[in-house]
Amino acid sequence: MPEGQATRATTDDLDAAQKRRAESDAADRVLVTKAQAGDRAALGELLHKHGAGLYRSVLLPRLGSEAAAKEALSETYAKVVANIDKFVWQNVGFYPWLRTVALRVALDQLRAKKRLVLFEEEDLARELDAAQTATPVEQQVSDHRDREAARAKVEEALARINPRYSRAIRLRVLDERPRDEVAAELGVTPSTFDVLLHRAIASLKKALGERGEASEKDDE
Amino acid sequence: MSDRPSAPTEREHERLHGDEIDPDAPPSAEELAASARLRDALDDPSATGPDLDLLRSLRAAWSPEPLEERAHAEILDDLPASSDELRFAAELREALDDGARAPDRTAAPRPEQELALALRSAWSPSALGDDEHRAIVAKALGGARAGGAVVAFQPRARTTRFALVTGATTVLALAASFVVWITTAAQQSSEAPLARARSTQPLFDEPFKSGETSARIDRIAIARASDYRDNRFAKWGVR
Repeated sequence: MPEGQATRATTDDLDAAQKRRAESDAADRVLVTKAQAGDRAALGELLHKHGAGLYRSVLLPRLGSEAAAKEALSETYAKVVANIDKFVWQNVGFYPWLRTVALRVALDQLRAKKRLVLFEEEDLARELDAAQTATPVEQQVSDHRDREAARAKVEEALARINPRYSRAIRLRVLDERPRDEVAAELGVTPSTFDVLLHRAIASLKKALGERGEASEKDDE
Repeated sequence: MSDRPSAPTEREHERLHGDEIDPDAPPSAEELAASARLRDALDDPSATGPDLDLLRSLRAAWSPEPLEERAHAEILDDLPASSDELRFAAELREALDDGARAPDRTAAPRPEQELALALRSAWSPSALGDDEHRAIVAKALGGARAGGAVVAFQPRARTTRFALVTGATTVLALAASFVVWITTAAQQSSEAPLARARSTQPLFDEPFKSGETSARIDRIAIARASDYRDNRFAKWGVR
């Protein structure tokens, strides 16, 4: 394709994306206005539109279990229902506000339950601080960044343990490859691999525990 | 009789050190070459040789290096598994084989299982089922029935149905507005208090020297940003 045509195609794509976003924002604004007037169906529509991405990109990666993420999603919705009248429409749309509420709920949950998960309280506190100004207006972009941040957190954790352990976790837990296949790739029998994986997770747990202790000392 | 060893006699010294070279004797060409090899080899951890082995054993006895954690893990990796490890490994295998992403199906999952599934959730989080999401939305909107069954939320409400019930809704809306008025009044009294504008004096216990105004401004800015955040959260009702 000649350069001029390619540039025009990119500009057209951008225009189309901006138009879609403007339409989506306009629809959200109408729904917010209705919801603030007490229209529960409109509020339901807003939550339904944005909630699935919120669950998958923000809550589940940060809380580490489906049960915890669903509980946090419910609580986020309850807060939205209770406080939708306080929401002030700005040019950034509805999603950044919803994400901020969800991060706040997730942070409270991490503080209350003290489960060993990948994300620490201070990680979420930092994200929450940044959420005010750094949440992308476009939900797809925001979701993408949140997913990338979660993956970076996984990589960071795996870098703390023996490479053989991290490889076992990567192949079996993250890539979800069959146990026998992974065992063969690592040059051990499947039953030996079970033990190897168990030790790998135990080693990671220890490394994360030490990380937590170190940050507590830093706080002191 | 004393236990202290006595100084070696001249005969004993000759027996022990008879063929030892005088440390101050001039070196031979062979000795010079050997000493250069030893000097280079000492800086090369991969070098081997009887002299080096001896030197390393001396060094290890005198100031042993700690075992690196990774090396330790590799050693542990080769140990036979205990019965507990075998059991936990089998439980972890089952949890992963099931494709389960959350440990909520078992009563008390082990922390290792939780961690494995948390890793998976962070790496490739599963989507929330549409029906389940509708149920959560409906519950938040007050659609849950007392018996636990949930009224599923329908995203696009049918306008015809709304038109038919407009009259009834108007009456209900009047009643609801009264309830909302009461609820809002109750909420206002229980809202989190907002940070008020105040003097910056309490932020500074110690006197600032001249030329440190930047640090002073930074501290004010941090305190104000914190107040601003708290107020935003309080206004949004998420504090």
